[in-house]
Amino acid sequence: MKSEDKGFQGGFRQSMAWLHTWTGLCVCWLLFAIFLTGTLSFYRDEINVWMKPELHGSQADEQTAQRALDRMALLAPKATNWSIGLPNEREPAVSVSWREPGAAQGRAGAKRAMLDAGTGEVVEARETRGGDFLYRFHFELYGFDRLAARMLVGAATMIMLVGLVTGVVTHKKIFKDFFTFRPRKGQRSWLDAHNATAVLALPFHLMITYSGLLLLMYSLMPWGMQAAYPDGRDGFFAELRGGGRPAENAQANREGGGREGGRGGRREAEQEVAVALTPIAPLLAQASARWGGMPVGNINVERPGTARAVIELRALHGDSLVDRGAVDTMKFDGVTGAPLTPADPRTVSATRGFYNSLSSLHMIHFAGPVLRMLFFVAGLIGTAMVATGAVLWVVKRAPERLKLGHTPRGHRLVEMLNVAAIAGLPLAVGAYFWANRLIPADMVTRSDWEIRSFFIVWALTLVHAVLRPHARAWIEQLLLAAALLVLAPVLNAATSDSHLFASLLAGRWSLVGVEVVQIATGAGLGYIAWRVARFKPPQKASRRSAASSSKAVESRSRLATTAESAS
Amino acid sequence: MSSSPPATTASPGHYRLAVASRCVAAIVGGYVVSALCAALLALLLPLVRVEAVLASTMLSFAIYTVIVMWAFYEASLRRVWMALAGASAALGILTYLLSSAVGAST
Amino acid sequence: MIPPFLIALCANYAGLVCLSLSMDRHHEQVLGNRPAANWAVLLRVGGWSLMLVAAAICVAHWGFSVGFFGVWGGALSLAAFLYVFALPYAPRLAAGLAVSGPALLVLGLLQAAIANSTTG
Repeated sequence: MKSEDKGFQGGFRQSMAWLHTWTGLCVCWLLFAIFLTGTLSFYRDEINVWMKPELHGSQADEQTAQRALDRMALLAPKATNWSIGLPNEREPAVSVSWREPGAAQGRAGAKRAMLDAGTGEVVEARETRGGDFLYRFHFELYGFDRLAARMLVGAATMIMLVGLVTGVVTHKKIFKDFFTFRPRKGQRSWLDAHNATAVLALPFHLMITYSGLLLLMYSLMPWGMQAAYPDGRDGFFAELRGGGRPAENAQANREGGGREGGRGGRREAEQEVAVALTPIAPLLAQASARWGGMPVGNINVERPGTARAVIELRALHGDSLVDRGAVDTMKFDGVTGAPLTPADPRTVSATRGFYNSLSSLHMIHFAGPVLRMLFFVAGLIGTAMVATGAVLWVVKRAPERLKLGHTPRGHRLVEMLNVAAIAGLPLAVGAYFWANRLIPADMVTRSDWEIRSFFIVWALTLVHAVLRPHARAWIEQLLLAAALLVLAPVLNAATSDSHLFASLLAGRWSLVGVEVVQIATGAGLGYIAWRVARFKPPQKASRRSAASSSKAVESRSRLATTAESAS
Repeated sequence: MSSSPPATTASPGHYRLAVASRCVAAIVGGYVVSALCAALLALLLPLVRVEAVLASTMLSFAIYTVIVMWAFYEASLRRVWMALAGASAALGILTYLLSSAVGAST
Repeated sequence: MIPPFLIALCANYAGLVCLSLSMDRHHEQVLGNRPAANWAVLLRVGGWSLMLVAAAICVAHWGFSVGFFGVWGGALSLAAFLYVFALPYAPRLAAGLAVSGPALLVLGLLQAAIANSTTG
């Protein structure tokens, strides 16, 4: 037979289209969730702030850094080190942490607090996971074994990569159709929208997918390090970390070790007299001038209050991709304020530069506001790409359903999952925001209840999608999600001391940004709901008007020509 | 993006079984081959050891992608399985020999 | 002070509009006829030049890695997205907005010249 020497599904393009369709269908709902929560994670700090209204009044000024250091001298006079995160355009308050003598290693041994930037007072913010929950969810999901969840997300990401490549080879006229979007043409419109959202941001999609794999690669593909190192993972990481920035790392380790040991023994006995730190403002000015105006993001003080205090200033963010967002630092003598010898410049090999570039692009710790906004938009485009792909699968099969006169069980399942994923997840995120304000601020385990609210609402959207007719389910969920998001700033105004106009006047752009995006997203979802509701299937015009179309089928194919809503 | 099977004489049940078999070959077989490629290249690439591991691991995802695409293009299911099994065996033996040689030399 | 990002975004947008107008389908969509052959070539060259200028601005302002891969690539995607989804609804307006690209470039140059003459 002739087809025998062609391919699995006919030609190469047909085979790849088949692969694209079915692998895409298998993971589209999970991918949508990963893409959406991941996109929101670009603004994780801002969402954190929005979800802690107690911090909204914090207003930084020239004296904030000094105020924070003074407060630390009262708060933790005996600590072995202080770490002070200064307010910036994303976070209005000062976040501090410190280690008491003899505290455990790592994150567990650190004590934390938030300080008001204007007064230096400790602020007791409500307990919430905030944007960190969405960030964790996008690669570890929730409630699963961590490694298993990462494997699942990794597998979905791998399929995403296959989907992108097969999508490109399947696309017949990638350049000819580059600028083409034809609205109000049913399936054609959905395909155009799917293609446009994919092609126009393709570099971003490829980068974010591949770098997502790279961030998980030590779990997904540990075989290279197993083969090359007799002691596998441990040996690899020892060499990787040791070799990265040898001087700086070894020094830091030695210092850390020396500090822990010294504290308990001889030095304690010496009864160090308390020595005041040098004023911080001149050091900040020096550092910022040397970094070409880049502000200081972090102040670390080793052995504060002693004659051997060292102040390390870290720049707010890096300016290059290859060293994985590593930032400039400067060290000063804590008492005299004299600059100490700078560390050796960082050198990065090509392979590591490639890895670092991709992983720092994914996490964009380094990014300024412009790049962050661009990535957010690109992430939304990617989310829309997954959504249009999922809807396209249903729309494409409308003729098949019309011919059959009923909806096959598989189609119905896809319809329901589409609603619960694409409309249900934004609804659940909206509910998460609402739970943050409606659950009493002093309730115990309130952050768990916020997360539970998210999942309960998300589960209810699936129940709703099962019980309601397809088009009604879309409209109702989209409208509710729209209402929750548009009204979230109103809820904020009603339940906290801040509101959008106050934030605007005070120039608190992180809060303004969150609320403007909430309103815009809500409005967008409302518009889509309106388009779905208004849509009448073009039956008379259709050649298939003679076919017996049941009411259910009619309402389902409504979605067919609302592709414009993707824009 | 055709969803229906191409016109063949095979029964739907047989077609489904063949698709399932192909999926297993692509997913499991493809993973094994790309994992072995990662291991072998980590030993073979003329780079510092850490770099070789990084490079081979990063490359393995591209290899996996190509294998999956090929597994769904190749017309003969038997050939898919044979090629993946053959590649796994060859890569496995090579990796084993090389890693024991490396282990002996260090 | 015009933000360099805005200049880059508009230059990219203008570049993409030029490229699209060099294609029969979109030239017809916007202007009602097909472009003459040499006119199409000119549009293509102009489009690529505008995007190159945008890339130069981004690299000059953000450094190579962040400026080229991050800001320029992102601005290109954003511009393309806005253009493609506006084009079918308001073809003339969508294409006409391309004027902002060269306009902002000229203003940016003037601004730089003034800044130079006052400091130098």
